[in-house]
Amino acid sequence: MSAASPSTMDDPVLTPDHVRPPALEAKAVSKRFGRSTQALRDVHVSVPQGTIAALVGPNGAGKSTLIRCWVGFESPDAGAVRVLGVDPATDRAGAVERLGYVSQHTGLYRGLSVADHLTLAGTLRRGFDAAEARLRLDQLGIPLGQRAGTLSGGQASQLALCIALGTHAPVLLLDEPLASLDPLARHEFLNLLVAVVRERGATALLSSHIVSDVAAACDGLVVLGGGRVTLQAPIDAALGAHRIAAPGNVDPAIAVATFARPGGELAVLVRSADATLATPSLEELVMGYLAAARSPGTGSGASGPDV
Amino acid sequence: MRGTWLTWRIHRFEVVFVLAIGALVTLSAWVIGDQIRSLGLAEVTCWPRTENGDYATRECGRLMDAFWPLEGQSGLVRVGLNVVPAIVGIILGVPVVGRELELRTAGFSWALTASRTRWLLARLLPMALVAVVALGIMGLAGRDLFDAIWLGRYGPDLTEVSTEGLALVLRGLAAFGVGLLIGALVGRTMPALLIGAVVMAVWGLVVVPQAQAQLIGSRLEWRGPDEWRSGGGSWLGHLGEDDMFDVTNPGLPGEPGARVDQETAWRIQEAELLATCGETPDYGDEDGPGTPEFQAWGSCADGFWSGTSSRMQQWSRIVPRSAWPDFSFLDAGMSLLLGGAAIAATFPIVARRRPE
Repeated sequence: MSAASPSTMDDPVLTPDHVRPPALEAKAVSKRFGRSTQALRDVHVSVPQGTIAALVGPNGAGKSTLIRCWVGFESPDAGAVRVLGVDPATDRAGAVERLGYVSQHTGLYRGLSVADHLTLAGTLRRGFDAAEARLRLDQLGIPLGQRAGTLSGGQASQLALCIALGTHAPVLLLDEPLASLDPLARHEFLNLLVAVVRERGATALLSSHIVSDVAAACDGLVVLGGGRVTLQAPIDAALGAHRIAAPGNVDPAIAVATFARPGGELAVLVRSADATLATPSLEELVMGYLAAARSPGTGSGASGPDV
Repeated sequence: MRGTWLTWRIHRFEVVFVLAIGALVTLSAWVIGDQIRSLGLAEVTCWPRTENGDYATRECGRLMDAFWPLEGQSGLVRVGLNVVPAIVGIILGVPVVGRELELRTAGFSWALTASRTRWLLARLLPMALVAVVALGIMGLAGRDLFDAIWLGRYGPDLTEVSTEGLALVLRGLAAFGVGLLIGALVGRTMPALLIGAVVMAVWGLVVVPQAQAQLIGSRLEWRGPDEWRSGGGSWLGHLGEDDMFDVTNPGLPGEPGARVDQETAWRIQEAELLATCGETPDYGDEDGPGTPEFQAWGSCADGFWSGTSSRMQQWSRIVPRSAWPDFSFLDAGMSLLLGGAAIAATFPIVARRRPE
């Protein structure tokens, strides 16, 4: 994410982080499924090395498609993606070797035990650190002899994460890993992720449609709506550059969008650092930009200048 | 070895299932074959039968009376030997990629491995080894059964070529390759199993017989009580109904032959028909009973194809047993090509496949 100014849907290209080169890049990526489904439209994303970024958006926003492009499971119709400079379209093996991936559907073998999965990962991935994965599973209280089919959703996600971490990959892609977890399991999952990523100086991109899940864990934010990037910025910078205003007295030039807060009360997200206005929560920030993406005419700020 | 062990763990249900049905067919073939051999048919010469259809000796009659019920029982086993190899191959082949895609485990594995080719080989080879072992034992049992059946039977149809030996093994491996490929293409287990079954049925019932028909031309022999006089006659009253004749009594000199198909014909000399009844006159009105001249000619000719004329002779079209290996090699070679092509085609598909 850029250090100071967040990019908006009108200027979705992230301001380059001159300190840290990008671990994950997407340049002008478009992807269509069939005739009617445009999953991604001219998407530009850059996630600097050593950061944890949240990829947020509603269901169907294109989050999984974008992540699968980096893993090499999808090929962009236009544009290119890179993992630490490697394009999966031309060097999938090179990209995969740099990635640890946790799918939304963990893809575990129901008939294999937890220990079998570690063995399997060892046969598939050169240098897989089974001892470390075993240690982490032990810390999480997941029995090695238990069959994956009998694990809870949380345990399955933890296992998938431990395997991804066991690869020692410099980049982790986690596609909605929290969706099926209870609050405690989410907390444990994110704690483990953050601890390891920070310790290793790795990069992680964590997708979710539940903003509050990722608020505490992530440095940066990428909001996808309707296949487009509507916002990407460091979270702190984005929150500092936006305010919540009541409808009616808002300068259209700074308005992003009007949206309904929980309870039905309407609010306007504005690009402003006015100390007299309330700072939005991360969820409000995201809701404002998703509302702008859904109804571009709602707030004039949607087509206005950068924050 | 760890990869092989895990492949076995992942596919243990289908492995156990195919080994069970394979064992059932194998044991049945061995038991019936052993019972037939214990009759001692090889020690007496029962072919050809006598002119009036009796077996050559009274001992032959006794042995053959014991043989035919066992041969009948072997029919079900032979059906099994015909069908089970394809089932074994498809059941082992489809899940290798198809079920991984269906259950989304392919995504888990493919995100870990830098080489999907190596992943496929690690899955493919242990399953192919299971198939080879299971099919190899079935092939030996099938050969054992057929060696026994040859002792007393006139001969199996060519549809049974793939029920023994190398042809059985390779037919099963062809089904394995087809199952592997269709599983990778379809990405769903049940539809892939059904499509694979249809493909192998078409292969066994249409494609292979078509190829056999090409080979038959050079291996075919007409056998009858008289030598065929070339240029002197034609086939009249051609009857394709096997059960209208005692095809187990071919009246052949020497060894029994393998029956190619059901074609048996009554043959008379055309010249004799012409001399007796004259040229075929016009029928006249198609909807009518025929002109009086035609009716008179028909009455005369009826005597030739009524089956009662002593001037008509039963002929059968056969392939001698000595040509059986030619058809076996043809079947095996075609299976090898099909299976090899299907397996080879799976690799680029897996390399490009989008996991669910």
